[in-house]
Amino acid sequence: MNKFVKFGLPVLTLALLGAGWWLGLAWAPPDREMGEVQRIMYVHVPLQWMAMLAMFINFVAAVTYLMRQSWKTDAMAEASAEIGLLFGTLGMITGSIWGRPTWGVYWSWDPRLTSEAILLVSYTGYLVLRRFVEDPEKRAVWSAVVAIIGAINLPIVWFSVRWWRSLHQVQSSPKTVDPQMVLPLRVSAFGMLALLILFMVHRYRIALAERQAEVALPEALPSDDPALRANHSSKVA
Amino acid sequence: MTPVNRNRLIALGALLFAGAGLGFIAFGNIGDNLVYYWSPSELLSNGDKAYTATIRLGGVVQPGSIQWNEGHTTLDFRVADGPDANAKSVHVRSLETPPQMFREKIGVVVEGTYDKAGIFTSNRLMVNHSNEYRAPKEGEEPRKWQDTLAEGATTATVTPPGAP
Amino acid sequence: MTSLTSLMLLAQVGSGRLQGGWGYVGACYGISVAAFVLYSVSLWARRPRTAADSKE
Repeated sequence: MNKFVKFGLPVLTLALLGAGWWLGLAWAPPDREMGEVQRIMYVHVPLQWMAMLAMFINFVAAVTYLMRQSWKTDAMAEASAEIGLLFGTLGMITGSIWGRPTWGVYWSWDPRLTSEAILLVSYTGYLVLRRFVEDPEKRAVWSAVVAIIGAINLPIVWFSVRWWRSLHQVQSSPKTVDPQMVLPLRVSAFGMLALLILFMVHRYRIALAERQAEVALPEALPSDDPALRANHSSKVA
Repeated sequence: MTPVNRNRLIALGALLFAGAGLGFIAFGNIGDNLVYYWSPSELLSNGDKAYTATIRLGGVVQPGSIQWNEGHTTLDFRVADGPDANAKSVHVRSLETPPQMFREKIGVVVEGTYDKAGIFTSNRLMVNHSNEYRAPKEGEEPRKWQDTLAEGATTATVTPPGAP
Repeated sequence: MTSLTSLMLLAQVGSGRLQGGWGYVGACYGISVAAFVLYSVSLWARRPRTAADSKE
């Protein structure tokens, strides 16, 4: 497993993302109306999908943490929020660049764009909160509450284009997209998924190591016995 | 109360709160107060309310309504409820260059003011794309199309399209 | 620059079709790849110093 994460996963990520983007940039036809600019789809849409997925993992991890306390789910929540914010921000930047030639504007306060902005702000707030609370347990509980409430943004962003009038179009489906464009999108999306998993694994390890170091700290001073420390951290986890 | 039970109660409370919030937004008719743009018929039926402030109007560019002035500096067209010729429509005047995708029958959202003369002066013209992505049809390969247009661009501008 | 002026001319025609625009495409992919590289570096810089494998 470790070997796969170290070598296999990066290779798989590069291969899938490279193949998907090559298909999208060189192999797929341009759009009838958007021309070459439509190729932004193969980076914008996977980014947004994976941002949604990461933020959903954050929600699940937060609920799981409150149900059964464990530093693993807390670390998972921290990792997924940060990566979800990264992907979501990139999704918004690429979407905004896509909007300039097609819509004519980089930004408009339409329901989709506004709800997406609120979503990103709420996950930024989540990560800031985590920074400011020193006590690991309080931090985990409070941030889990913020994560659960912040997660209502996910369905709002998703359905915003159906519930309200917006500049952003409704979701496409394979019926509304030519097969030569669906294939690169699929491959790019799996590549982005591999990248998400790769980032998640490493970010999770960082968060878990930080948690264990924080929890181990008070005991580490009087007694330096590694056996005791390991015992303690596993009790908390 | 043990910390575990307390945490579970917190989870329940947060979930209930989130669910209620979501339900309110989804089914609470919040959309009525949160209208990104008005349709032409809504604008026409709103009368005086429409004259006051900067508003957005959204609809479809009525076929055959696009008109440029001599110097290609002012663009006049009608935004209609739908693509058919009898749909209610509003006269829009725009002083800026529209996005390239602007054409007849495409969805647009314009930002500006509506005056008593019945003209909507737009200072922001946005084009609304559908969720369809298609390869060019047989015989309309965009690159070739671009070449021919780039060569004949000067002649193309001489004849304003869509003059009714 | 010539492409820009011809783009503006075309835009005035109201062709209904986007011409060119590779710059926008390049910007999107470029920004994304750059951000991924930067984030990978930040993950590497923050990597757990004590052998993480022994704790798992």
